[in-house]
Amino acid sequence: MEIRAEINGRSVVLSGAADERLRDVLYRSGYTSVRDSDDREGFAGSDTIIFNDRLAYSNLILLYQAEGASIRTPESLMDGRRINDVQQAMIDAGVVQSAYNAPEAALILTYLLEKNPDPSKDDIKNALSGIFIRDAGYEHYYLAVQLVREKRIHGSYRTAVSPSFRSSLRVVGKPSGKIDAEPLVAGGKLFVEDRVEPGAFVMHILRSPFAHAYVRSVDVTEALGVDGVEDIITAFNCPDVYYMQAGQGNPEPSPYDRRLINRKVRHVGDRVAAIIAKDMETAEKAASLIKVVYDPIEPVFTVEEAMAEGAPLVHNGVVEYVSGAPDDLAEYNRSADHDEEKVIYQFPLHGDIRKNIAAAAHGGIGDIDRGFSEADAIVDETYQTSQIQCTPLEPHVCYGHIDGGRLTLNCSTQVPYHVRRIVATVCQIPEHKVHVIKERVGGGYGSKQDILVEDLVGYAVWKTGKSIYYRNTRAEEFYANSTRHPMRIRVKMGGKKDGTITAIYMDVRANTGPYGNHCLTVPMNASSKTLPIFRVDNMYYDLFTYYTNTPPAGAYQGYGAPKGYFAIVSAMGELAMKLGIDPLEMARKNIVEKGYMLEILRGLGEGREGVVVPVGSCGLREALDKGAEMIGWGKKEVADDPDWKIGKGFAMIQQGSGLPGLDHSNAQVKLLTDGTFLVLSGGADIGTGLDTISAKCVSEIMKVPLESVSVVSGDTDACMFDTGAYASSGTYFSGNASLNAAKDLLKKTIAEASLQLGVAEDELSVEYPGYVVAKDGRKLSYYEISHTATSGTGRGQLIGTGSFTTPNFAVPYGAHFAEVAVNIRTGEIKVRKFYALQDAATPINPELALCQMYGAVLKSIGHTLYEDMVLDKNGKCITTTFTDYGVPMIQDAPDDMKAVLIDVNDDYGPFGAKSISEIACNGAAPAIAMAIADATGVWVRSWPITGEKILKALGRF
Amino acid sequence: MRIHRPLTPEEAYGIRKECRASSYLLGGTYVLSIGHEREDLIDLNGFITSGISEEGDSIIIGAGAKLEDVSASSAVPPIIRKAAAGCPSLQQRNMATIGGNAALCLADGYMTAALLAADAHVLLYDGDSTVNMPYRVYAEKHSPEWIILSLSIAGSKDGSVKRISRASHMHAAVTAAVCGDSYAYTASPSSIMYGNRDCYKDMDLESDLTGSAEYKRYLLSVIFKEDRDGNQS
Repeated sequence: MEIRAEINGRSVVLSGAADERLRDVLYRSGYTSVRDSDDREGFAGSDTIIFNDRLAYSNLILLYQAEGASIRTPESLMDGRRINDVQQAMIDAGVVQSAYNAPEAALILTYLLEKNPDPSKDDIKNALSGIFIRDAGYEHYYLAVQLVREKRIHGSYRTAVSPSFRSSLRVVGKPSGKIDAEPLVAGGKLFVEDRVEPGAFVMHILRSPFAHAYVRSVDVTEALGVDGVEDIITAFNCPDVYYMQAGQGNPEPSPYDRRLINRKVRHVGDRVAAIIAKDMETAEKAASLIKVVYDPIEPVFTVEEAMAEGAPLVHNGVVEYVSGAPDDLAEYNRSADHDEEKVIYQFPLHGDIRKNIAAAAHGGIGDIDRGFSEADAIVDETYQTSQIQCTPLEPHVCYGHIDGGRLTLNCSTQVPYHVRRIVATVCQIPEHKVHVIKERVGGGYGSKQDILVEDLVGYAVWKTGKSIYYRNTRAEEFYANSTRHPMRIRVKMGGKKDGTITAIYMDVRANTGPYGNHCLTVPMNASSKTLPIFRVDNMYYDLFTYYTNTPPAGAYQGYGAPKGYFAIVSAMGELAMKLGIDPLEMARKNIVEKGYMLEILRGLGEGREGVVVPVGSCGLREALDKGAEMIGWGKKEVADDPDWKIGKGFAMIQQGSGLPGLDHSNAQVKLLTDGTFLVLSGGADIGTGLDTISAKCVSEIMKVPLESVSVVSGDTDACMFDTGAYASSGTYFSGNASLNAAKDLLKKTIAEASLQLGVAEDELSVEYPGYVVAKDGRKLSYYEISHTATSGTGRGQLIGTGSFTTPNFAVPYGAHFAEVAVNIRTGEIKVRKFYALQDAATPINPELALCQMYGAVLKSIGHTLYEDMVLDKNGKCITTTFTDYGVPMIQDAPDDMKAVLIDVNDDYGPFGAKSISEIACNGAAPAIAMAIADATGVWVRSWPITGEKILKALGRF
Repeated sequence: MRIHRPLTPEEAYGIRKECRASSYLLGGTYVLSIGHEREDLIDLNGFITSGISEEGDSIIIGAGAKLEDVSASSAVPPIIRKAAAGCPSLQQRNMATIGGNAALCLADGYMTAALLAADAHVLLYDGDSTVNMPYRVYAEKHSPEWIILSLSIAGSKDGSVKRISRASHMHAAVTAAVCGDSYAYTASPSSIMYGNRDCYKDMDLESDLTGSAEYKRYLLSVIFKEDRDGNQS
């Protein structure tokens, strides 16, 4: 049907089926800012429009209902290519990050300010109540509105968007806005879905209804006969190539325990067949005609079930080792089930798949028994964390096509070079045949570190020669994606009456689900990112990671650290309570400081021997002291209503900045012929501002305005290798590579200028805004230098190249404080205050850093109190919508929330910078747990911390 | 999906009778959301009104009135306004209707308990005629073909409505409302009860994502507390 509507002030005819969702019609009609994050749930707000002068979800409107309607989309905010003042304020406030629904937020706030030029905080909260922001939290949206109001009244901002750092630098440490933010907030065509060409095929995946079963046969005869079906890939016609989906350094510390599609399904939702068809309706019809014969096996879902004597084995195939095979491997394989896929370890991870153990590790320092014997009190408690989904607003998505005989993949990924390597492996083609283009990423949070869809799309494209688009449904995001490893962590901690901790023991049991993605590294972080914060002589950990038949686990922002901190800081709080000591004093007494030799690192090397280094830059004590002052530590708050009890808690935290000795980054900086600069960075900007960091490095070193620099990143053809955006590596590794490339270009530019001017290099320097100046006063602009260098008699284009590897650690530290109110009658929990204090050293983009802290903290509040993947007795995930699963929205954010950057300078990071966002995931759970214990006397030792658990512990029912 | 756009209740009722796998459509936030789609949709907006008016002591709310309009109208009794405002998303409130909410009788919805406690009445078409019926009767006996045309509530009704959920946008474990000595309770996934304060004791409660049956029973027993003057809050 055709309907006539007014869209953005113009009369428009929209075409489509009467029952087609208006969102889809708008997108197809060119209003591409209107996106879909929730598959018609009416929750996330990426599909928000103004419909007849009201905010509405376009996914819940059918085309016929729009007849005669007045519609506004975010495209209406633009004046030509110019964004409006609300969009600009959002950029300036730092909230435009992964930005999948930033255009809708801009539309909402613009509409709010049209109706109410002077909105209160509650008005803003109400306006944003139907939009889910995962990356930046909500705090700086209030700031953005404030900035708009100030500019409209005074002509300029009166409120600083963030503190500034390093007065000697022009752009580093200053809020400047993300260089790619304008097209993002404007709703530009920047995401994978925007690259899909008309006529592209789609892929639909038939998934297992069983948690654990052999697939005896798959009959696709009838399905292949459906008109429009191009091909169907199953376990019986896919390449016999083993790999794993985690995007990690090669060789990976994860077993190769899967093929594209396996002959044994290991979770509800596991791949059974991939149908490539002309459209989704055809693909789904074909899927319904596929006949699969399953042979179900008893599943295991928990660590306890997996480790039980005689438990069903999730993997029981032949085990191989690329290196370091044990002597008794042949005997070990005697009981292997040859109907199953192999498990190939790149090197020993101390797994034992005949006991469902995917990986194991152990280590420590001192004498743990002596440490406990010296203690005046010991706590020995077990803490359980739940399975949590990353919930990026843009689901996992991939578009693949053949271009010039090569396989081209448009990806939403954190690891383009690992995508290239793994897809090439699966397709059995060399890497030069694969071109991966990382588009803008609508949220990653770790889940897009894993190659969860690109492998299958890549192979299907290479096999069929067709252009193919694939997108996970929101439900698939829950049950066929990577999630936080659920962990059971036992902590035994002993201490003296004076607060000295004498010994810490951690027993970490992690659930990796059906495949071993990150089965060593994520669980290792529960110990490797927690124990080194303690100045304790006797510490030891045991780690076992188990295969089960739950939905897959994998990388998630913070890796295992948020779980480790929940356990170890809670245990410290319990120990302090037992000893009658203030937990903050206990922390102060036992934390590391700059220069302390981290002997514990020797045993925390993640599959190799760790390197002992001293603590570098460290703002931990300052964070603790400042946070304590801010929250009024030691002062008991009392509510007017006696049912409400108020408590306070804190956590001291650390993370890392990439993986020294493993990570590797490269970048190039080109001086273009007009004297401007193009950075080619291997780093994958996933919305965090990494491209801006690269640009700032060039701007500072070459002394040019930031506007003179553009960045292309994450394109495997254009840019050089980078291990990717994970483990907090972006600023430290990719940023340092860009910095080194800029320094190299500076050196070459000086050398070229020396030749052009006939002056010795040591008599030359560079001056803002882009000149090489000689001591005799002569100077050349970069345009003049480049023009001559690239002339017919020139010496060639000037290109700086930089790489970065390091043995040095740049560890961010921090402290998070929470004030929580608990209603001991109803169990309601309200996080009243949350203060996050972190030493990012020199925060290169301080406004973005603050927003990443807000986003990570709110995410972690969600993990602590609300979010939970629930499986039924058959292993089927029954929380496949946002409402069922539970994510924090603006109403759930603490009324008083502050992010504070502690100013220290690091020796190794670019301009003294360290990482920012992963560490911010570590504090909420332990701080809130401690605050709840302070308020109620109840320690809740499992996620999510619910009112029901508190009431039960209080004996209310 | 087939769309039907009747212009009268009679026509709509007839289509609903004929198409067993159909749903009525008003605001669409439920029937157009994932998991609730039907093959046939009967759009009632051709004849349902959305106005809010006073008639004597009663407030008449057209079934098509959006929750946002209900929550913003000073004419609407406060307990109903509070219940409508309980829908946490502005976009949802701009689209969802009071008639749709009333018709669905959802135990984790925003309106059910408030409408029961306030002793709302519904004007509905039952296939034969237009009938004015207490919402309590509707909640117990309604037929899926009935069409709510409007709701009426005594304008003086005030009271409390409270829902307890883990997070603002999650399903409520329990919702309770009180108007004078009239109480109503709903508990996820499907328990509804009204009557005196202790009527919750007769509810069949189930464990689900929102919590255990025991937890819900406890919550229902404490959700209201009396101040020194005996007022409920």
